[in-house]
Amino acid sequence: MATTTSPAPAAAEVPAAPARSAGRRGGWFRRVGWRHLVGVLALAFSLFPILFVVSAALNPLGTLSSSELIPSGAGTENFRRLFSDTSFGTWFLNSMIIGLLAAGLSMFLSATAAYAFSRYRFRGRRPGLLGILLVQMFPQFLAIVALYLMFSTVSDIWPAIGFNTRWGILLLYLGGALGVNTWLMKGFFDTIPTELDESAKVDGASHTQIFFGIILPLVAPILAVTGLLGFIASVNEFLIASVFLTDDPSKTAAVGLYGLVSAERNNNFGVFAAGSLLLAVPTVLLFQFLQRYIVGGLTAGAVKG
Amino acid sequence: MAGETGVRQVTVRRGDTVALRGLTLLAPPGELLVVLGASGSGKSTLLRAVAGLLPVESGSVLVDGRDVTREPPGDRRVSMVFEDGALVPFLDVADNLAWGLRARRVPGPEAARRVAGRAGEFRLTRLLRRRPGQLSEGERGLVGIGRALVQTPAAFLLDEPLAHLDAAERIRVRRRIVEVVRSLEVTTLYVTHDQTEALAVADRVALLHEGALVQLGRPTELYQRPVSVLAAVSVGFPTIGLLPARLVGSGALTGYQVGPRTLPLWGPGPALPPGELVLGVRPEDVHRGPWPDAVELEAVVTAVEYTGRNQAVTLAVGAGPVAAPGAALAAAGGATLRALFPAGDPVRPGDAVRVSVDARRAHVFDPATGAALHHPGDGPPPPPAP
Amino acid sequence: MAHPEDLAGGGGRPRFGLTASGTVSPVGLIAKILVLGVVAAIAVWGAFPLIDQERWLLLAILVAVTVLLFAVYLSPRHIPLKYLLPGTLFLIVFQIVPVIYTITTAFTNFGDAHRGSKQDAVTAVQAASVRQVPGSAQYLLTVAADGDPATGELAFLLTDPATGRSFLGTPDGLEDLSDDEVTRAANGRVTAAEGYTVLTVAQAGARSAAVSGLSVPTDSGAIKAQGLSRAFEGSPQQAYDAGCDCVRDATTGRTWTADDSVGYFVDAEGNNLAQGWKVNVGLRNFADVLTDPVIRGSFLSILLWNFAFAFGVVGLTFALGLLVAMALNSPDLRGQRIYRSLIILPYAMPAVAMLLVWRDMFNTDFGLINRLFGLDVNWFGDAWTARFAVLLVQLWLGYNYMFLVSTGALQAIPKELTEAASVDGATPAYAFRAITFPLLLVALAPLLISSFAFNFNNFSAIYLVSEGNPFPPDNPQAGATDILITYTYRLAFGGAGAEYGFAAAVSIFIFLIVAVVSILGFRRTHALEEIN
Repeated sequence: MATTTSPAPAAAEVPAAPARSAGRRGGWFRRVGWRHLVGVLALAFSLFPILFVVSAALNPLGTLSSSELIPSGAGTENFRRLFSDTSFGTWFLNSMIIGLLAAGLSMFLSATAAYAFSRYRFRGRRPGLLGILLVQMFPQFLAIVALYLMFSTVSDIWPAIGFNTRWGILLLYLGGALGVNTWLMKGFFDTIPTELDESAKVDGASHTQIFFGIILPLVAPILAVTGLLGFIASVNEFLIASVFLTDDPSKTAAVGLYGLVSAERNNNFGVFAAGSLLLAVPTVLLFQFLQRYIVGGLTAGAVKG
Repeated sequence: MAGETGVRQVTVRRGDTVALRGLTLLAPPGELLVVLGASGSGKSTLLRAVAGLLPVESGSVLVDGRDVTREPPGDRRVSMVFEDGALVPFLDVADNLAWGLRARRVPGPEAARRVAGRAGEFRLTRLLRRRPGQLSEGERGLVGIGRALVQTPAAFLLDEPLAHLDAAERIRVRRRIVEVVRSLEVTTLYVTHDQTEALAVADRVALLHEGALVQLGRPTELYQRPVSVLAAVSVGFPTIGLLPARLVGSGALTGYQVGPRTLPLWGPGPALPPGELVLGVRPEDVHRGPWPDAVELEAVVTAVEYTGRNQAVTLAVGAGPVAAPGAALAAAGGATLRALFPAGDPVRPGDAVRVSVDARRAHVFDPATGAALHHPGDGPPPPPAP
Repeated sequence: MAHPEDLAGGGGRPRFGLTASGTVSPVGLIAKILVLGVVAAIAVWGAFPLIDQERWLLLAILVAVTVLLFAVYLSPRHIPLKYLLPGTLFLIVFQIVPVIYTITTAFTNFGDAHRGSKQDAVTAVQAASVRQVPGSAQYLLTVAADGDPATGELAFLLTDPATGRSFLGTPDGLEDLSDDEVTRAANGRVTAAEGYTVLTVAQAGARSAAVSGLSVPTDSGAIKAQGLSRAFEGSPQQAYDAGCDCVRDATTGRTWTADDSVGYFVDAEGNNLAQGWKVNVGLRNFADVLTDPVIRGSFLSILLWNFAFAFGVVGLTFALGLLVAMALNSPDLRGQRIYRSLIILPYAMPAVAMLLVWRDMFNTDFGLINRLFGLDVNWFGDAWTARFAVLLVQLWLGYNYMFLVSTGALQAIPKELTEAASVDGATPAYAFRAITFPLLLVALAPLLISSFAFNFNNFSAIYLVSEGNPFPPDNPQAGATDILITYTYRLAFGGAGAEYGFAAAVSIFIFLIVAVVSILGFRRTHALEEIN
């Protein structure tokens, strides 16, 4: 433990041996110990519902009422049922395709807009930035009705991008590409000195060469962050997807899993838990993969002066 | 290629303030023109307007005789050195040096040859594989300079290129820059706030103040014949001393009255309007103790700066304050002289000393406008017509 | 304001092998041609069905947008627009247009009873008045759905016992079903049909209202279900008479006159037919929100809880996230990376699923929380425990994000600032209060404000966890954990028919509230002044 190796400056003034060791322990607690305490408590709070889900997924009975925090048995029965009784494989694939495409394209659209907002001065810039934020404050939930009517027409004209298609919902998600993320990105772009662009401009580089060749590589952290946030948002999006994707093979995993428990909650709980766990796996992997960018990317743009 | 580079009747607005007002400043082909000014004088604005990074409200921008006012920066055939180098962080030094050449589609081998050449001249060869993050501030500045100088443009634009270098490096790099631009015979606009640097490298110096040209001329002209108090205090170290005075006497017995003393001119004085004047005296014309042909003034030492070879001494002279435009840049309040005393002289702030000033070596300015009325060496006026 | 790029005008002479717009780079040129080619291809693909269906307005919009795209990307000017246009187009089509549509419906009576035009209403009234008359044709009925049995669109699979032929009946009309498309039982009843899911009796029973409401138009009237296994073809009893602008019942002779102020056919006693049409009602929806005694009674308390919920979620997640971030933000701490990876795990879990899991963990009888702590609390039965529960769930879902952003912000604050404070003799607590915290707040203000805006309308957080529970005995509409959006949802969509116009009016109120609070927040933190 750290107690034996790290020197405690405060302890030097305490003469008696027993008091000294107490002092050392106190010093350790004040320096590092409390941090571990907070960390462990936060860990427990974060993990216990997840532990419950894991336990329910492994629970061979597969019912809610028989699920405990600590697995009472371990079986893959729920996972087997998930793939044999439901179309989870298809749902999962839908979620991944829609999630990755929506995240990637939104990130790109947002980055180009942030570049314009950060680097150019044009009429309508300030109203545009404020407008992006204001639109988000309208309860989108109610706009679903309007979107539904809109897509009823779209489905008639272009069935390929209508209801129950990946393309339709993807287009819809791209509508949210300009939003808080654009602000996050603009803040980050603002921290990159404009002299870099100017010097490239004087050298004869075009605005596309500057954007793709200089700016984009420099904002990799914020791209990672917005990409990940976009992926999480579209994989977990439920309200719109549940209205637009009603055909079983077109559902995303979030919609499909909700259908499982909305019908028969108690009996399907184990299968539901298994599906939720599997759905979290890609996000967790992506998180680990991008971790070194994420902490810096989230706020490096926000804190500048 | 033979044409002027610079601006003609250019006005540039930045936000609500006018950064350049109807400025005309043109450098003939091959000239190294230094733009000198305090911060806020508009010197960087001028450079950015020439580069095309700032839009001009009116007037025209010329590069090598060509009107480029409406051309984007990349088409103006200029290359520019930015104050902090403007290096691309994820490229190593070699790639940064070659960046501009690639953007202009210079063939690879040719680009590599030029990069290697300049890297050698600026002692960057050992740094070629490093990234900007691994360089010191000074090294980054050097790479920024090298990055511009590998090109063969119609004009170089240097924005405080030495700002981040340490003192010794500064002189070495300064010489190197001058060698390169002279050997290429490329017109160069060189922006700096450092008058020593300006006098050292310039063919001509343009002194800017609040977006307008104060004086344009060779370094010696600027030093010896400043057009105004502002120009006089901007060039020369230690700064020129300023005294309030009036021309007294007539005929062969004229002199400047400074406080209770009169500084004789030993002959007919210059033709000056009656009334208040401002005298400007360079430190080299202020001597401790008696001096041939000079009258001694009582003064109090207010500051002493030891420079090694001598001491720069600031002296308060018992006379009224000087209020001419620009005088505030030199001294706050009362009449002040500056002098160089030998290093060994015992002198401390608060000491009362006597200094001699040769009135014939004084510059004379109009206290109302600050404009120069007379310079030493102008000679006496022609005898009045009979 | 003029820009250097705008001044360029595009007439760049070749210099150094590059021109003004910079597109001489071959890669760039090829990419541009490819992208514009794809745009053109999509436009052509989209245009064919539009021409086919004679939708000229949409076609005009499609052409205009395509021309705009080409104009912007082929011109060397308007550089900012090149970067803004794609995202903005999506924003306009999928966010701004729906929002504007929602706002305009706030001034109408749009809803289940008032869906379409007056003509649509007449058609519906006539179809609904179909009665069995002597000599009506009879059919064997099988109820089916297009897709999911619970949600798919209903269809009738019909067999005429006289001829043995089978038909598919939908609201669009009757279609022949060939023998190889269907499987029939001995009596001729269809038991399976290609592309349709046959509903079991239980499934059809669950949707019996929809089954009896469905009418299949035919030349002589309409086919309607009679129970779940038989159908008849009847003729309409009520018909629209243009002369009196009214609907007249052929058997009883009663008339209902059209009233365009309410969008209903109304008889002399003031009773109206069920199906009306969409009309403009001006500010009536807004007046309803403000004056309806039921709404007014609960509005204030719901608004207060809505604010408490939104501020509570932002405050609690930020406080806990910041505390954990500060605790773990020490180079001396071992296992820092492991702590971080595990603490943010909830953020990676699917939120919808975890909301449902939390709801079940709070279950009184078999919920994990009660079992784990040996409690017997009816969490959603008491106002305060229910509020505690929904806040706790959001805290769990949200503090991880705040932990992440606080960690980032803490690391971005220059060390010199806190070092200077400690040299000046400030205690760590004072340094935090005077330096670290204000800086954090400035940096994170946009995120905190958007978090507030999101949580103010966080429908799932309430609907999937407490569903607004508990409800006071005297008011089954306004629950103790209801926020405005869930309350509106219940009022507008929960009752007999959806009242979309009314819901839209409430949503405008919500928007104004959120916008005002957010703008005040931005003002206080000066976040907006920075954009210039």
